[in-house]
Amino acid sequence: MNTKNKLKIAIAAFLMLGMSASSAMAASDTGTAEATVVEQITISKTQDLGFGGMLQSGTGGTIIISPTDGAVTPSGVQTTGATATRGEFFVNGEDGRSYSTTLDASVDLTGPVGATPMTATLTKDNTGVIFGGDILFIGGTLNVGINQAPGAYTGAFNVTVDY
Amino acid sequence: MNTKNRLKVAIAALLMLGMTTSNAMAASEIGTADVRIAERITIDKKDDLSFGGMLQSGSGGTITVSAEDGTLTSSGVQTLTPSTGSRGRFFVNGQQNRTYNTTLDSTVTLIGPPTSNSMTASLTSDNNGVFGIFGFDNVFIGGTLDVGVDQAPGLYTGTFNIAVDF
Repeated sequence: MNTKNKLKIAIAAFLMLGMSASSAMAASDTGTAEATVVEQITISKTQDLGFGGMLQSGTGGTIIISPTDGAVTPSGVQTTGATATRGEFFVNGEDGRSYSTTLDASVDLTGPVGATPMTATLTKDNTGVIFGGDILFIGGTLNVGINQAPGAYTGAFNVTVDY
Repeated sequence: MNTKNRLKVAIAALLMLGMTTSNAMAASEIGTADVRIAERITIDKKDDLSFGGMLQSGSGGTITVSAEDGTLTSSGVQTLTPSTGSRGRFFVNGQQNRTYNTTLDSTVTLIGPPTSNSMTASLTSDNNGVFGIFGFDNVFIGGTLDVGVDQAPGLYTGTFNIAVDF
């Protein structure tokens, strides 16, 4: 072997040693895994929707309760006795989170035996965001029939909240 | 071995070869020297692994993120919709058509708010394990999160390790 080849081999060996740095053949990194647990949303009734008391009406009419401020507006009927009040539900859950509300469109109120039921359409008012809870107000329009039979009329409606 | 030592060895090799000059009765041989230059392999995170949001659960359960396609399935816990759960992704760069190995932590611990219990997720990966014609590949990360009974509300995060090599 001549000097020239030996020199070439030596230089090749030198280069290889410089090349085989272990960090080039492997690499690593880190990743993040995350998850969020959210408080359950809850709803509880604090006040029923009450259309109050009224005199039997020969014309029939309506009683409207505003969910925004509870204002009562009768038409064709004369109110008496118990004051009408909007319904109230307390909604709670994760602070700062918004939620949606699903409310029945109407509710049937059933009275004494033989009486024609009355129907009330339902409306709502709330902020839709939980800040230390949220209050969901329920109002609506009660349709009173001609000579609606005297008595107590009640009905149940559904309201659902979810994130 | 540091650079200084390597240099010394290389020079020693050079010197040694110089010493063995044969003279009379000389014979010659052809030697071959070759060196292979390999590309580096690199890995960079592109997307974190997220199990998304869920409602606190009275029963506890699991949330699974598929590494294959990122779909979310859950058992015993209600996930928030639309879900923000998604698989992780790491971009790996290397050498065209060359295979490589992946080493991934088997689990990751997610720590939440003070006084809360941690959650553990097992990890899975999906990738080709071989670089394509452009010399890169994606490693997708999924896993199954174990959610405790009445797991405390809050944000939980954890860090996991991944390594690749030729």
